[in-house]
Amino acid sequence: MSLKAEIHIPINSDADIVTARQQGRELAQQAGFNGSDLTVISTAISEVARNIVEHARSGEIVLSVANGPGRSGLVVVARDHGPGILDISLAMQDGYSTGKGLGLGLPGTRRLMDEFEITSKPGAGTTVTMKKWRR
Amino acid sequence: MADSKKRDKRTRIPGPSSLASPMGTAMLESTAVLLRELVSHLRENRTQLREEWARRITESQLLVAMTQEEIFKEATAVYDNYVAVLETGSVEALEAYARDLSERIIPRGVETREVLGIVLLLRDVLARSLFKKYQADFGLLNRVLDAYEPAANRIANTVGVGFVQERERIIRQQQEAIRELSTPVLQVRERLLILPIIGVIDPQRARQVTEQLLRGIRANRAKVVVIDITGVPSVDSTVANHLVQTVDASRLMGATVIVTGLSSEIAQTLVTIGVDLTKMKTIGDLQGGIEEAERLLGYRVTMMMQAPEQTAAK
Repeated sequence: MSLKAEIHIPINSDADIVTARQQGRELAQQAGFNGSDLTVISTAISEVARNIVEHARSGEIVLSVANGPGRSGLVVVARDHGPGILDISLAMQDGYSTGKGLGLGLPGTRRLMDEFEITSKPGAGTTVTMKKWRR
Repeated sequence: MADSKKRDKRTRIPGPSSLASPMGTAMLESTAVLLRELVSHLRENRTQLREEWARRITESQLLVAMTQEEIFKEATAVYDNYVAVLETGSVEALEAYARDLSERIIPRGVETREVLGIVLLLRDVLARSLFKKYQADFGLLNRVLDAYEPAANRIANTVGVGFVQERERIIRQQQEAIRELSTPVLQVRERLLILPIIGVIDPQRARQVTEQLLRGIRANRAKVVVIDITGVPSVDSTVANHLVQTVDASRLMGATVIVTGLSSEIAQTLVTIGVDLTKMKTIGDLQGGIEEAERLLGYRVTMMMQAPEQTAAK
């Protein structure tokens, strides 16, 4: 199976969210995911991409296939150079939102994925790295 | 020295006729001479170069959607426009032609790479003929190419950009059209509306859906609305939020909303994210949704007695 090493998707508008979601779904399929996992992955990508458009205006999503010892999975990195998050632990709480959303984006996404890591520097941007392993 | 050159350039070469990059007066004058020579060379060899170009287009499998005659006809038009740009330095006529050409060929499925391909091929064909003509004098060849290259680049740019702009215009137009079509609010019975949503819901579309629905509820004095999202490929927390708000707003207008067509994958995902959909009345499929709506409105649907065959035959 030939898989592209990394897929970079620039995120600047709502339409790019759709692109990121579709590409993520496709790559996950190639990596051997199926059924509800595909929906879970594309929804998680949708959430982080939406965060970029809403809070940072622009950024990128990088998709790649991870090959760990004895398992494989999908890695999604969402990166922006937006305003950053002042208090990450607050942002990771259910129901907390600076916008008009439900405040479920980040905590909900963490529940969808197997691994979830967020680093942010106020004024410098935010990077979310998340993984889903094949069961 | 440099200053006086600049001033000279400004006064002597008016407007768009300056094809060359900033150069000295002497250079510019010789550029004009060289371009004139170039133009007459291209006019003299019009037939042969045009044929050569059309042949290369076919060889490279470009413009496969067009017939041989069509290719030759367009090739001739582009060729003449090309020479005109070299002669006058103005790309306006070429711009207009590129727009018109794009309008004609885009509906036939001609792609951007094909258009760029043919322009670059023409550039190549012409450059080769210049090589052949001036091969004995390398210095002159260099100067001719110096004059030719910037003009050729500008022409390739004009045609390519013209094509892409036309494509973008068509895409925008289609987007508008799809947006208009995409959210029909249908009345199926007195006071019962159906709103089938197909495709991706983004914030703009969600707003539009809500607006149309609320207008529909008022206009039809609806009591029950069935929103079917079978055709929505993905529902994330934002989309779910829009749905919840639409349901709330409809309730304020006095209508009960039933959401149908939530797939098992999406249902699981929404629960994992933690979206609270308890306020939303959901039913598996559209048929079930309509049955429930009819029940709420007090309709009872009964099968008619089978009509005797004689009456049916009459």
